[in-house]
Amino acid sequence: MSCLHIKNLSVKFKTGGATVFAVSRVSLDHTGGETLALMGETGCGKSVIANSIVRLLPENTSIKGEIFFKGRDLLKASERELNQIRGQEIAIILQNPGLALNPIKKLGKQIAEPLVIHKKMPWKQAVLQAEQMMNQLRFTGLKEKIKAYPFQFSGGMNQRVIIASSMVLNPRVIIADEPTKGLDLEARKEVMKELADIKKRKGSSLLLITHDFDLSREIADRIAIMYAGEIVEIAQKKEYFKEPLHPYARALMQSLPENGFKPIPGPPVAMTDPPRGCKFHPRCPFRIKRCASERPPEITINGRQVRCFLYA
Amino acid sequence: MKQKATIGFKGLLQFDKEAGRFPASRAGLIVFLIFLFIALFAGILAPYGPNERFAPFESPSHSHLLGTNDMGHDILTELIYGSRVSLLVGILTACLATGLGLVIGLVSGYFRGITDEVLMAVTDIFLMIPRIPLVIICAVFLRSSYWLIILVLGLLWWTTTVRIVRSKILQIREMGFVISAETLGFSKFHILFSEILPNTVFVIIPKFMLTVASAMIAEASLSFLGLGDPSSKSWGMMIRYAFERGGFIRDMWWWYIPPGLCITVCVLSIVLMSFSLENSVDRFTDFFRGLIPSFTGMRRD
Amino acid sequence: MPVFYKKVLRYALTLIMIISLNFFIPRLMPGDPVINLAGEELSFNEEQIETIREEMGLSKPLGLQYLNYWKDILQLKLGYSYHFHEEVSRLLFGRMQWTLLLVGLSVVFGAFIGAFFGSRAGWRSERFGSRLSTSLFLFFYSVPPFFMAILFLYFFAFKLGIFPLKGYYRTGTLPDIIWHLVLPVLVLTLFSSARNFVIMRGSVLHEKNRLYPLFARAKGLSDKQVLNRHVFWNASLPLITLIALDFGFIFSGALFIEIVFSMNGMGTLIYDSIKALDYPVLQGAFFVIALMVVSANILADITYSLIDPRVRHQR
Repeated sequence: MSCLHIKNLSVKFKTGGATVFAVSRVSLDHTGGETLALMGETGCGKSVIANSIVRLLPENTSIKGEIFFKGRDLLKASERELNQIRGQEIAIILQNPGLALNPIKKLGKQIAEPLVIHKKMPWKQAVLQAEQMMNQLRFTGLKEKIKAYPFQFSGGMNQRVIIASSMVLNPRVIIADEPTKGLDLEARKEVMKELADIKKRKGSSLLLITHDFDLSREIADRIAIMYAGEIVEIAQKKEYFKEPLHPYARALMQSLPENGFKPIPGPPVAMTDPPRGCKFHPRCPFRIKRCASERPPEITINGRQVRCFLYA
Repeated sequence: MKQKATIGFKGLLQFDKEAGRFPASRAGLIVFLIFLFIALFAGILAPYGPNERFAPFESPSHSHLLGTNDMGHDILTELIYGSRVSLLVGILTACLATGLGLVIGLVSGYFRGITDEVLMAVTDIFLMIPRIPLVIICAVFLRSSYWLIILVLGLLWWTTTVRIVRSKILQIREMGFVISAETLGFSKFHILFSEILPNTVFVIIPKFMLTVASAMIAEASLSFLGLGDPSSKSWGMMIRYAFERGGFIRDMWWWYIPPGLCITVCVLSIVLMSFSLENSVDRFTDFFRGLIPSFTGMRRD
Repeated sequence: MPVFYKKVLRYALTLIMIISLNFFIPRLMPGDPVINLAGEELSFNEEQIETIREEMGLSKPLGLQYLNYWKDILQLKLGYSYHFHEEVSRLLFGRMQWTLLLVGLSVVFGAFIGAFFGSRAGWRSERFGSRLSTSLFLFFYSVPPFFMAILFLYFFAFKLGIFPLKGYYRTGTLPDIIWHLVLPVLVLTLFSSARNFVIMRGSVLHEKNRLYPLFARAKGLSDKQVLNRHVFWNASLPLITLIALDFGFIFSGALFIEIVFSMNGMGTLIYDSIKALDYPVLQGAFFVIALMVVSANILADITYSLIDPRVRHQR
């Protein structure tokens, strides 16, 4: 059963004089209850997809395509409908926890806010309920810190507050945008534990946007790899890590520290002027003539999908 | 000379492009230029000479579009000549205040340490001294004149410019071309005035404009109290005489409303101009940096 | 802790500076110091001048005079006005309450009006309504306060006769006072709200691009809710300090408005003193005004540190 169904999504921005083609015709199915890790380098468009789902992109973006959620196309929904959906049915955890929290409001209130807004609960009750929820989820140490302010704590702590505030209404889908970015090892482990916990207890679907392979190895069910605004491979976690199929995915694995830190040859893609045909072909050791002129279709192989002519 | 004219003209075009984002500020520029024009060419534009006398307390008519005042002077002539005084006092005050602020901000931001602390403390103190009452006191002791107003206000108003200059300096002093100049052994003062100064000048332009506007209002208010120079009437002075010499009681609105409107519209035009500039100072600065060569001929980053 | 002491030092230094200015200015100005200190009442003869010189201790050395001056100031003895035939401090404090009433009301109203409209103008700055309100408030920003007072006096009092032309509180009844206060408070409020509008608008423009409003939206808050529950409060913080810094300006504006409306406050007192060259009153007024400006700044400093949790928790 599909929870989120993204169909042919394309996103463009205009900056200065140039147009950035951030996402090109991406289609993705996110099943209920599964944890899908959307991975890729910085700038490949994964955060853009995340923000498109909840329509939090800035004004000057042009979005084309469809995003179905519970039978409705989110891209055609009104602002009022979206206000209902955000936080309540689809929650997004933004990057940069230190800045995402309001510096002059108490942490407890920021966690309880969705309850007050969506369920019209009085503040006292909402904060109490938020506390209870956090106890259930075994968020350690958070209880005493409810009356404190964001600046008093580290990035890891703030990130857990943000996670807590997105959990409070039990949304169907949680989108976590780089939840471990910029955190030290200790904090990263805490966040990973929290996310794993959520997955086990609440059964919500998790769309994990990250470039952290440790994290996805820990908690993902499926892995989707993005390059230059396109999805190039989708596979079950075990199979992917055993053997990535797409040349870019392979090169990515080779570039990890544990595999030797081998860099991917060639310059990164300029998103204002992407290559024709397969976006990776200028840097691909396996390229053939076809790759420079045609965009490879998504090919299903052994239950996986790869966008490469190698497997045609 | 020609190069300066080209810079000036291109500057206006760039301003126009920036102002295009706020159409009102284009209007502001045009209006202000009109006032400048009137002030510069007062002699040609005014219908009569500044000292010509006619029958006093006349209502507006064909020969006197705004009537005459208590001394029989044509009010329209007074209004036109008044633009000179009002604009000049405003501009000179702003020059003094901004110049002082620039120097103090430069020194404070570049040398830091105890100089910085002391200068900032002095700035905070001066910020709290009430300006208009101080001018009043000085003006009653000495002979009241516009120069006094310019001097006292200028010596008190640098506080607003200092902080902006200082924060810009703190940014700039870490930049490549400054550090390379330092390592090459140029003296501190040399660096300050030929490398850093040209880059900071453009940050203060919006503040300069706002100071002109505020100074014009302050001068008008002080003249209204009678602290200007009665022999050359600014717009504020005109209103005072209207008030004092029975213009209000006699319902001679054409005497005091035009000068008041002139002040308002002129100040508004300046405010509109500086509004758009404040938002685009960075783009403006980058644009100019390309045009004006460094005094030492060294290239910039 | 050191930050706190630095601030106290600055305020103390400011007060010292102001009091010293007040001491030195009349003594450094050209002319006979006696006249400079006593005012230019024409009815003095030689004998009276000598008596005054003795009373004021002008023959003593400068250092001693300075110390005596401090002694007087601390007892709030601001001298004697020969023009009004009264103690300067009595004169000033008597009038000051009316000025403070005018200023107080206007600062409060102006803060709310300016903050409210300014925040909306900054939040949706492209909308026509925002552009309109911005232009309107910029207009109020540009009108000299005394001229605005004249215009209002002209339209509402002279032409339409709704409000009184002159004077005030002869009867002293509350409705009468309110009736007399409406126009001046309106004018000063517009003046003060224009300044607050501009600041608030800028502050909101700055805050709306930060991450926390976006996150609030992500939690499901509507546009209005993000503004009212988050951005408005964060954007108001700089307004507090700026209102304090502006206090001197608002106060000066009040003086002119009082003069135009012939009100019984410090404005008309100063105006008469200028005409009569009554120096002691003018110096006393300068001191009192400066004192109030410094107090307003201290108050704002304290308020800010109480409200902003980041500052509060660093003490």
